[in-house]
Amino acid sequence: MSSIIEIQGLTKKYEELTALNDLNLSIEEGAVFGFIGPNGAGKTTTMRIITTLLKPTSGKAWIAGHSVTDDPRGVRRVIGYMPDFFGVYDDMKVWEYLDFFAACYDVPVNARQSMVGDLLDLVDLGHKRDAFVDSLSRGMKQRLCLARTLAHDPQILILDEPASGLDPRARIEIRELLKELKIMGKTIFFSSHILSEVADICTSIAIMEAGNLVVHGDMEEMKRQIRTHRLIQVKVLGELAPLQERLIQLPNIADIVTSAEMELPPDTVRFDFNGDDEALSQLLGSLIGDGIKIISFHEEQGDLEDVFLQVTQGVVN
Amino acid sequence: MTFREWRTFFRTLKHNPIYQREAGLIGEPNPFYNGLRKYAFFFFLAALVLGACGGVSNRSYLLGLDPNAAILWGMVCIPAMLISMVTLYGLLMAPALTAPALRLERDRGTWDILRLTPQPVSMILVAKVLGGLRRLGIWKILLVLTAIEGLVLGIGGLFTEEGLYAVGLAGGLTAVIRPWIEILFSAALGMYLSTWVGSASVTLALTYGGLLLFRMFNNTFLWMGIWGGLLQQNEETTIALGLLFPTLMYVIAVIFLGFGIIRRANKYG
Repeated sequence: MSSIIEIQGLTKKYEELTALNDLNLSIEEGAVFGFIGPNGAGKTTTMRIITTLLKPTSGKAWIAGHSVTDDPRGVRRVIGYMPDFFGVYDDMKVWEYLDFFAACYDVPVNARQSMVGDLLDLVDLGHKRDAFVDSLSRGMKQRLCLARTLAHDPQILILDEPASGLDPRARIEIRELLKELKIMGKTIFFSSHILSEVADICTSIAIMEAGNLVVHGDMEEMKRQIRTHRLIQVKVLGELAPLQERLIQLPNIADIVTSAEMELPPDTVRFDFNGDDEALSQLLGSLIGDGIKIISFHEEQGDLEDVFLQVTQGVVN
Repeated sequence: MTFREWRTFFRTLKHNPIYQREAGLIGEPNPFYNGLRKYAFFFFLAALVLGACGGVSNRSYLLGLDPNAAILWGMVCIPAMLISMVTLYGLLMAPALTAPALRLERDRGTWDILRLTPQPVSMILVAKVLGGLRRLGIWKILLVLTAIEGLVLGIGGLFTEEGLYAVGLAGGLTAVIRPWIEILFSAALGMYLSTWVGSASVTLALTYGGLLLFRMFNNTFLWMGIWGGLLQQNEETTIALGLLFPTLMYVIAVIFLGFGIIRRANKYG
């Protein structure tokens, strides 16, 4: 796959403050990219630069081949941007709002009516077509705003904290919508500080702190890289003691704990394993060969919170 | 922006969604103006009284200039008063239409979204100003009145005893252009100040202050004093330039304000 967003050495300074420091990123077409970091990390600054709303102090960025500094109009045609603030006209009707922005994007009048209907169906607001935006709930307004970003059928969606301030149900709805957009082939670049939300839908992430990129890459791969030891859980039929005794004797194994010692599923042992997939496969074979009745053997997936806590230091700009 | 793009923009202006919205055809973009319209009677009254005084005094210098001009003054007196009234009403109401235009967009979080549409910021702003001003509803009458006054003053110069053609021409030109440019100045000043000031009411008050100051230091008599007194020009040149220069200053101010608004708007959000 080719890169659809390419950022090289992007820096933004406000007098003494460096909001963004030498950012380098490459995002592939069709990716769902999670941009994570605490407030003041430089997420919004990055998004405002790549959407052409802000000029960088130095560095370059290309969106679908268009330079953000040299060809801002080209960039604007291929992106749909949702700011962290709602961005809706409360005095308009729902359909008017979408129609207005479609007109701003020069969508022909005869195409607009069906397009508005399709977009409202997509975000499940068809029943609110003639309602005033003012009367919508916060979650509905957010979905409407997302529909607006699609009015000109952009390749890339840049969403700043799309689920910020929403209740759990509305957050789930937004997440499902993003999944649907991913299926439609959109490249989604979105920021969030709700880590579980990012973990659920992202194919790659970047973690920012105090204007610096701390880590960037494919999410699963990154979790694996960051974890120096692999956490393995084994559930057995019957006594745990034979398994424990056997594990103590084996190399590359440490920190063995059982369900009696910490919160784990019943009859389960967890341990740190330092080895590759081949070694892990040999370990499983060896345990079965020793007559231990294994009913479950799996590697714990470290969650994004672990990654985040490991790579960030709590520095704020 | 190329000339061609601007030409297309103006040709299709009435279909421009931003213009339509600002003109009140899509939703209600400006609750501040609606609130202010409750007091429109007082604005109208102010325009009536001040316009009557201003309209008469502005033309009275013609009396002293040439005995024949008394007829001319008589002819332009009524349209001049009406123009003055309509212009004053426009001056007072225009900033109420343009001052909140950018501020509200920013408060709603829609300014960034508008900036990301293919429409350049300069065109968005022009569409906003023109759409907003359309709501004043004074343009047709102003067009008729300025055309009449301009024509009378322009031709009138030919009939003065001393053949004050330049004065007639300057007077005619000023009569046609000045009301429009003054209202545009008022609208632009309101919009510019709104990019610095948070409250629409404060913006409006500042705009009125700015208008008053600008009028005080940019009027025909002051410029006549400069050209005649300081620069020792002859009477005809003094009056002609005295008539033209205030308008010219308004044009220059509008251009500067336009650039200022675009500059601020690009950083706004």
